[in-house]
Amino acid sequence: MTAAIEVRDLHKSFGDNEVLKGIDFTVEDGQVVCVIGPSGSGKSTLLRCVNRLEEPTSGIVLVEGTDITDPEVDLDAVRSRIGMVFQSFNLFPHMTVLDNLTIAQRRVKKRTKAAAEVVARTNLEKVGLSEKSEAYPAHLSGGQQQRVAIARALSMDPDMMLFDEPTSALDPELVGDVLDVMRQLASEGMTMMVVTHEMGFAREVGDKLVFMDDGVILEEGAPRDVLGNPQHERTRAFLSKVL
Amino acid sequence: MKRSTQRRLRHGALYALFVAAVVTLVLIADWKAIRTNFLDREIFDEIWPDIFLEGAKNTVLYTAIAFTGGLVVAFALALMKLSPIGPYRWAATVFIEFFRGLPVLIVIIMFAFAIPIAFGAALPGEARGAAITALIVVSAAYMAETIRAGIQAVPQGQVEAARSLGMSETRTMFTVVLPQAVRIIIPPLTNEFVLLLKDTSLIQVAGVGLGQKELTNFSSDALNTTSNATPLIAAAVLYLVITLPLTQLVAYLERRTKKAR
Ligand SMILES: Nc1ncnc2c1ncn2[C@@H]1O[C@H](COP(=O)(O)OP(=O)(O)O)[C@@H](O)[C@H]1O
Ligand SMILES: [Mg+2]
Repeated sequence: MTAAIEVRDLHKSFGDNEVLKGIDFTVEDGQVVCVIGPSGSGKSTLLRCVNRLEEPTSGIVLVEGTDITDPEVDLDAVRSRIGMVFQSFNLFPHMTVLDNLTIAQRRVKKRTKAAAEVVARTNLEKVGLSEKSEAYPAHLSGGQQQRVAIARALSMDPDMMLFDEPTSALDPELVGDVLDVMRQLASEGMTMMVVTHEMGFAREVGDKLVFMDDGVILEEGAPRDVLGNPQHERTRAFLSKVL
Repeated sequence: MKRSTQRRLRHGALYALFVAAVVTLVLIADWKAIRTNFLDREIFDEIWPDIFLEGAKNTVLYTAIAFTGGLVVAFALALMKLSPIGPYRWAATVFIEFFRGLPVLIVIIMFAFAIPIAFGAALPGEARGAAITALIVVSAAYMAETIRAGIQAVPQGQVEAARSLGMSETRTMFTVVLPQAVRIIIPPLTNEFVLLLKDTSLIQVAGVGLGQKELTNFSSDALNTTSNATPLIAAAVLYLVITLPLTQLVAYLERRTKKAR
């Protein structure tokens, strides 16, 4: 069976600054893979190379077996199968919550307004925000905005979800609600790649934990092993700071 | 003396000075001459309603055409300035800097008289069409920077969110970026509209036909035939009737944008 995401010898430079220095990495179908590491180690860049928000300098990125670095690939079609959740939510501020959830369904998936709204309401209910469908993002708390952002991504019926530090911009008391939604998604079998500093979530939900440092994957394995018995000095140093 | 007393005295003195200035002006003005030269009822009846039906109508019409055309060209220029392809950016920069650096009058004369000589063919719509084209080009050069700044003020995260949902670049521009940019660019564009409205008075140097005069042209011709300034006063009032609501609208929109932040 083809992996959901397979990255081979991925390099990415910004000018002279080499940010990814040869990454090999796989997410199997249905797996939850958490990526941890110090700030600036290249976690976001790796995640963004998976849906080509960032153009890889060299290497191969296979999404469900399709090489997305191929110039011939229909990038918009690939992206509509990959949900992405950002640290800063990035909801569309000029649209209601419902419109945020239906706009891409209608314009990209060509669903009718009615069909899109059915899907949107189902996903709003899933994240516990049914009553907010007519609200504008500015009137929601950060935690609610992030749950709407997750519902927006889910409304495209993605095969997998990418999360880039989804709880880092939130007040501590709002983190739990967002993690609950992600836990629920994982239990439903969603393929997930999650950049996070929430070690509890990684240990409990993750099938695999990847530690990145300075543009390389330093170690990876079962979360319990990496967190409980880190092999590298740098992993130990990082974990002693965040745990 | 207390501070507050001092301040009250100073304010009082300033008011007194203002009232004295107004009273002096009223007293030294020659009201009879003013009435016969600027506010002559008979002459007004001669030019009304033509000053409105021809002059004001053409002013609004020329402004609307030049503004709409300018907006379309400005949007294209803004996209060129944001293009990753160097030559597009450079061409847009040259265009913008060239036409912002020249007096509008020179551009109108260039378009109306120089182009037909240089290329052996006139722009459509004869001299008047050429003059309006010149206004389109000049206003586009001014509005392009405003539109570019508005587009760039929309956070990059908005584009990334739209693209990650599978929206194309064009779709993202029209459904996500522009609706947010519009709120930022409407006040400066309204200002540009007012400037453009006043610049339509320059079209007359190209020479226009019967029934095609705008407000300034109409009233200055009437001034010459009647040897009386009443037509100018009428034109001034008509300009203000159009521009004052617009400048008030800009002030209101700017207050609202500030509040929304
Ligand atoms: N668009 C960009 N242009 C230039 N440098 C960038 C850009 N994005 C990221 N970087 C650099 O790449 C490095 C890794 O960034 P990032 O992937 O965001 O790290 P992380 O998410 O692990 O904190 C940083 O040094 C950052 O400055
Ligand atoms: Mg990051």
